[in-house]
Amino acid sequence: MRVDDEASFDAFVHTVSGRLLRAAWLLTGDWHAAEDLVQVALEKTWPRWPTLTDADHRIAYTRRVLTTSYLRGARRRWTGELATETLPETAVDGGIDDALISASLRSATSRLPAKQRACVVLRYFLDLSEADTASAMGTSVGTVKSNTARALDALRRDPVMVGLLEINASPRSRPNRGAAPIDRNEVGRCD
Amino acid sequence: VTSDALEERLPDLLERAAPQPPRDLNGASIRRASTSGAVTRVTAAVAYTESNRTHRGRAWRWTAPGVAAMVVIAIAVTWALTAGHHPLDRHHDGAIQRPTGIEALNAQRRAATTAALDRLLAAFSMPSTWRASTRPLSKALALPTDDPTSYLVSRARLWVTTDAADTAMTYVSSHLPSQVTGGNAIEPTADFASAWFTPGGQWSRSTNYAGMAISVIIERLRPGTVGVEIEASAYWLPLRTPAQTIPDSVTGAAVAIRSEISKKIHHGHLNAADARTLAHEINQLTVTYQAPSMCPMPGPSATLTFTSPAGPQTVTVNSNCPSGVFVKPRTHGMQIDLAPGRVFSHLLSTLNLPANFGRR
Repeated sequence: MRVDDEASFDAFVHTVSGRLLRAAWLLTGDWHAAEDLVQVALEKTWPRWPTLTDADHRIAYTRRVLTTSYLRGARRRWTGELATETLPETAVDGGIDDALISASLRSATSRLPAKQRACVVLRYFLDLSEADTASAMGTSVGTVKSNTARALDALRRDPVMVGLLEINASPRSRPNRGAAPIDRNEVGRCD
Repeated sequence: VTSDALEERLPDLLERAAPQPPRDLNGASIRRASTSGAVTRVTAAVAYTESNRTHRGRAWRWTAPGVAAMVVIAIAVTWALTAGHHPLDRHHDGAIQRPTGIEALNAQRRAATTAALDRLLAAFSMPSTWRASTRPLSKALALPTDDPTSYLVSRARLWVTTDAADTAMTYVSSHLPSQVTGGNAIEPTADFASAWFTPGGQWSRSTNYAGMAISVIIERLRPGTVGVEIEASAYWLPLRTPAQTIPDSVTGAAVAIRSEISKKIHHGHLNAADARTLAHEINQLTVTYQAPSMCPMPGPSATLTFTSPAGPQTVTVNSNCPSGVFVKPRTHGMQIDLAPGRVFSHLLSTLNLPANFGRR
């Protein structure tokens, strides 16, 4: 590795890690797991760095490692994690609205299968095309389409999401009586 | 919530939902960890997987659950032998709880039905090149799990073969056990074949079970590998428990009959004599294997609430079923699906309602 490779990799980590960490948090619902996921993805990217000359290839490769690592981890029956009875309070920037959205989305997406959740995060948070999502997941465009459609269908019928969309009919509106009750036990759940 | 509304709002919601990371990752430390060639963080689920694969291998990952299960079974058997009882016989307070009376007889009927299914499946003979499997091969080729509260029991056998699905189905169809006759089948292809058979003679009916059926599903699992499942199911015939019997000491019954035409509910009351007569008729009905789905066009329905010193007992009666009687045990009371006939006619005449009440 050359010195300029190291510098460019460090800059790459600095640039992309924030976005990837947030995506990984949406996938796992847990900061420790999210950090581990992103770090593993970046560690696996580094040995390939000299061959990844194009910026698009670099982020695409990292995304693919991250997604496949997540899906492989989600396939395991037991991840060695233990649920705690007391849920940690998470500080969320943006006040009560974003806290409500964060808890509600976390609750709703936690009920989705791993592939569907990955499709939602890649398509709607990372704003990837269907082809790029398929590439990141190592699957076909058709599978991405079907998984995305199933995920949206499930979210559309999820009472938490129904309540969330109802109370957030206009951006930054405050919750009202129409809010669906949020199961506090769902907040902080990690699959 | 429309799909469009959700799709439109989802990016913004996800953006607001994902909190900012608590700290930045350090590129230099990631490079060092990567160069050292090992992912060693014990808290990482992914790293745990990698570590598992590297040091123990695929064989251990597959066999470990089996070894753990055998250890648990060995401990349970040892405990049972030393205690002198079956583990399930011991109540939490230490008293021995053995099924008695009708419960014991019903348990015997269920066990006899299961044994009959096992004998039937054992009568299928497959080529020596077909490899038997004890684990689910796919979603469609999964071993059945019985609901202990249901009257339906199922057993299955699985095989893996290199034959095409249609070839395998041809073999199965031409090597059926005796008294198993041809049933229905879909047009088989090289990838998928399915057929249903009806056992006759010794398999068809006994005092313990009825309605036995066999389904064969053959599915290509991957190129060159085909899975075969033969599943046998039967309804075991339960004896009525005291909870499913109306006591002779009934003092009356409140009746609500719902018309299928006008959707109106007619309320009435039976005196002690009429209620006792109706209760006697209901008690004489035999529990059969007919499923509730066999009443596709229900006629008028009635809810009877019998009162007695033992307490109220609710019976829901659906009429207009094709044939037979199906008594479903409920937590409170029971449900009866029956053909138009004596019980419902008696009920209508007792309440001075026309015989065609609630029918089209």
